Amino acid sequence: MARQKTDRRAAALRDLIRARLMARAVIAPSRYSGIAHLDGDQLSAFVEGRLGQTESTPFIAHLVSCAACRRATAELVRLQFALGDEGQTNQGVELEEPGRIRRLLEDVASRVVHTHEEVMAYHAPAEDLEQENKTEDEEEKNKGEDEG
Amino acid sequence: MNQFQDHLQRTISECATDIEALYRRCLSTAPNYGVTLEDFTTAIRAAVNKYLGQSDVDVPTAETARSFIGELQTTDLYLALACSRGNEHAWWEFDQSYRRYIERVARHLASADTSAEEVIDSVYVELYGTRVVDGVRQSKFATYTGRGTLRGWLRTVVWHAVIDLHRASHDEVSIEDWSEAGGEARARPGSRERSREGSETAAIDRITRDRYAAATAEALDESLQSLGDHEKLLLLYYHVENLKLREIARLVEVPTSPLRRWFQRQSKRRLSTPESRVHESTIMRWLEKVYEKIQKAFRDVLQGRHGLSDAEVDICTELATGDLAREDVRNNLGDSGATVLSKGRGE
Repeated sequence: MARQKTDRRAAALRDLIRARLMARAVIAPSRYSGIAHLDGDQLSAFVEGRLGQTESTPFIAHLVSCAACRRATAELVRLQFALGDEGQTNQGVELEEPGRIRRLLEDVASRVVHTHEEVMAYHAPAEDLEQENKTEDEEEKNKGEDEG
Repeated sequence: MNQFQDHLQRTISECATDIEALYRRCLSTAPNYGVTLEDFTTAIRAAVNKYLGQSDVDVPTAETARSFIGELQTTDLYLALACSRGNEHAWWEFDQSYRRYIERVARHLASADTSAEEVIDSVYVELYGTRVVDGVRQSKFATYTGRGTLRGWLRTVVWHAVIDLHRASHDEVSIEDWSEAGGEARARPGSRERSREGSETAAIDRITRDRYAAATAEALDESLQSLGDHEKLLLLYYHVENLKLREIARLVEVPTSPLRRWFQRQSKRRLSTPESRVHESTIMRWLEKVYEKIQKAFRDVLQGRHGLSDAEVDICTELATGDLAREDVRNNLGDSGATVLSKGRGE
């Protein structure tokens, strides 16, 4: 009988805690975190449990007081859980279509917006440049032979 | 540069040999990425500054910095640095290794108004960066520090891209509205409507008119406030964000997880096996301990400050919870996912 009463008290208190937390959604942290909001890098490092004790202290204080960042971490935990731990990242990747990356980069590079009119140098790999030079040399050689 | 930063920079400089060794290892694996030792060192320096450079804590020792640098995902960072500079070899490697994963995350999060293809395209554009400021292309890769894995970071980038696209198609939608309108939560089985929120709020409003309400609320708030931040966060994840016990267990899966270490320090039982897996029942035990602390503090305030008897404290609790649906937190232990508590509003 006494045990039942204790259990009932505990259950009632849990309901009360939940209702109070839902009504408030935040609790003041023990200390000021000094963080405005967590960025993507910080969010993912936290969700992956990579942060050390000292690093995580201001993060945890921030998550206690910031509903938006906390919700973001909760959503990311759910996402991580739903996707599961897959191990290898390149499982089942089909053979690469030749030149796909070049086209992809060219497509993305064509959308670049220059805010100060500077031209961004495109980093072509050395062998591509060599290949291009070789083709040009061959073309010139052929041209010379035709003219000759 | 203030004294703290000056000291921090000297500390990082003491780790130059370690940084160079890591760089040489990355370089030997991918010599054609076009990342210089200087680029690499600058990125490591930025990571140390960002995570250890909190001005309100002590300057890290060289040993702490060395340990931090050793924990960085340097191979991922090296790849990200090369991609941020538009190196084609790096992009090829990145695409081979992560495209499938990006597609998978995008498909998981895509909804009726946001197609997976649109998300993938948006992510690639953002990763490459289409804005050039003062001659520097603003690649999203430049924001990756290597503290977490590149894979985890990409998951966050895709998640943000989905929210941004959703916002763009619905004018301005908050993260809260997005997740409640469907979003990731749609895929979860058993999500319940938030139909009770109004009645809970109304119940709390009614209770506040009760003669015991003020004392109850005060005692409860004070009890919650007396907890450590780790305990507060655990409660908020469980009760407000509705993370399931197994999801919280996943959050603390890594043995070095700060939440896990904190709770393990509180428990003599776990100290002997700090590396063992955290089960849902462990999280439940952590919660039970937090409840016990709150219960004790709650009774102490009501009895000590307000002079209430045991019976009156019970009346306070019962009145305060009277109209609220009883959802025992243990439900999640026996239920594989059907029980998801309704979601709370933000601030």
